[in-house]
Amino acid sequence: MFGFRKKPTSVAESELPLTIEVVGENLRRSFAGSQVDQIRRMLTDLLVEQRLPSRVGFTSALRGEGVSYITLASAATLAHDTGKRVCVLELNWLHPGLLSNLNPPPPVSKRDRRQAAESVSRSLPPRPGVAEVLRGQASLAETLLPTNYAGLFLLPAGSTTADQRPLLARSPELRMLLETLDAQFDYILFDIPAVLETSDTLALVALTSACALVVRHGVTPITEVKRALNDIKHVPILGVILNQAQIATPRWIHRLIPQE
Amino acid sequence: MVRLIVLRLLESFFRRPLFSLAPFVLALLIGVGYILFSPPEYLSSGKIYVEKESLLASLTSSNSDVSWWVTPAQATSNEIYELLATNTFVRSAIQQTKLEPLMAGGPDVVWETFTFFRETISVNTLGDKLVEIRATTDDPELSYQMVVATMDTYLKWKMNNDFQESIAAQKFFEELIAPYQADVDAARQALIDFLSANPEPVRGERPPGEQFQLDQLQAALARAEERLSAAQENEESARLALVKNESLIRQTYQIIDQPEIPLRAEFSITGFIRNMVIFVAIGVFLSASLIGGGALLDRSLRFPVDVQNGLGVPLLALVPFSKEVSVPASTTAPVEAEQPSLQPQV
Repeated sequence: MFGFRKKPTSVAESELPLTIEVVGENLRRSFAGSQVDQIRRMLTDLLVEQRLPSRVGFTSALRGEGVSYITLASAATLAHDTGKRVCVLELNWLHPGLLSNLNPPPPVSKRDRRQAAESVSRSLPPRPGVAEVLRGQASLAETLLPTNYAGLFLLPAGSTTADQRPLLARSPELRMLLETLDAQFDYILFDIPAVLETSDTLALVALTSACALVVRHGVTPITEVKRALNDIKHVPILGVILNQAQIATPRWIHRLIPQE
Repeated sequence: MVRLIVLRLLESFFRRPLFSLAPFVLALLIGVGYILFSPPEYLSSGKIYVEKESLLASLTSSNSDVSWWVTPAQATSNEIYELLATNTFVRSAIQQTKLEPLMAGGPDVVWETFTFFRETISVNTLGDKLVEIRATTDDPELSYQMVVATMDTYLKWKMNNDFQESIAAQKFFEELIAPYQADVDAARQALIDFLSANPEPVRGERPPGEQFQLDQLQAALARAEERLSAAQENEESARLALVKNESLIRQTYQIIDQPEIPLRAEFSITGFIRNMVIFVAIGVFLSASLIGGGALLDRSLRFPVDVQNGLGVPLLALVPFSKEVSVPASTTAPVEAEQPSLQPQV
């Protein structure tokens, strides 16, 4: 009568971790099975409902919400599950985090984590990216990073100066680059800086077909999220992704609370 | 909305369960410490039996001050509490205790002593006719003295209250009797003198002038005697009232149980439970405030219902926090994924 299922009887295939790895580089990242499972559910829902456009933007209200992480995980899951050609386009020239996410810092204390991440980011060799392509200093083929998934490529932000960032974000070259990428890939996942951090985000978001807002679970104030959603209301909002969720209440208590 | 509030409160608790429970545990420990380390208390009590229906009282109907719906014990209890509210009563009671030296202190000390006395004395009714006076302090002798003093002062007050009136009346009439007696004596002497000077004629009647004077003297004597008699009657009544009142008080208020010096400290299970309940309630209140405050101040998004209600957009995913998964390095050659697509084929 009061039987409880203590453990799952078997590990579902969907809960296996996924690993993304740049070919020929020591850049790799593994995503936990539970995370992959959530992102897989999200993508499957969007695909089944035909709400997943070819250009999907990932942004956040504030910095440090895990946009690059979610973008990479979504891209890896999409490429793994569908076999489609997927490109992760990093447009965050302010705080590029795509490659540093692929080279995760060793586990350190919470206080030093951000510092360690930044030091890892600084330790990565300068690599040409979108900025160099837009300035004509590198070709697209040179900057696209192949991964262990045949259809998944990464395009890092590259490096630029502060005064050039607004120009790049609003440049016709960027639009032309996107058209080129559209031709080569089924899906382009944009890694966009935080909405409340820079106004460039508004211009960059406008280049996408729809946006998802990454929100750090239990940290980001709802007022900031509302402000961000209001700022990007000119593009369709797919929804909110709560990242780094840690619900402390035991699941069995959740089940006892009646649904409204 | 209710679900959201419940979820947030639960989350606020389970996020920091030890921190949330800390005030409760702390209050519990303080409560236990308070009970263990508080000084022992000694209880002394005395019981007064109130018999309003005594023979003399019922004959003389002197106890009509009590309404029929208030029991004698209740009336006495109320009266003692009312008297305890007066400084005069408390002051005269304190005179009989070891608190008396404190009366030489400043006004604050006196006021604190009065308050201590009032708070220490408790009066309970045990049935319709029994009144219990209790005092609980950390000094057994003081407890005893306070109960004795309260009972004595009350009984004296009760006696004095009616005595004063009777004594005043008696004294008043006593003082009147002597001059009235002198008046009577003077009137009688005047009559005797008149009769000696004017004896009854052998034949015939007294002349009209003489008869008129005699009548006047006789009337004056009668008036003086009547006044004296009235004064004597009133004096007797006052004396009777005095005796009657004393008897009435003695019969009405009988000390059944004399207070004694307590030899053992009082352990009240009721007091223990009451103290613990107070501390537990404080702890629960503080913990609940902490949990509620935490939930109230937390303006972040925590549940799917937060996103739906607060933002009006769908929740796409709830990606759990996970530490870096360590997977052994694999070959970095691209793998061609040959899996069926979920994307509708256009």
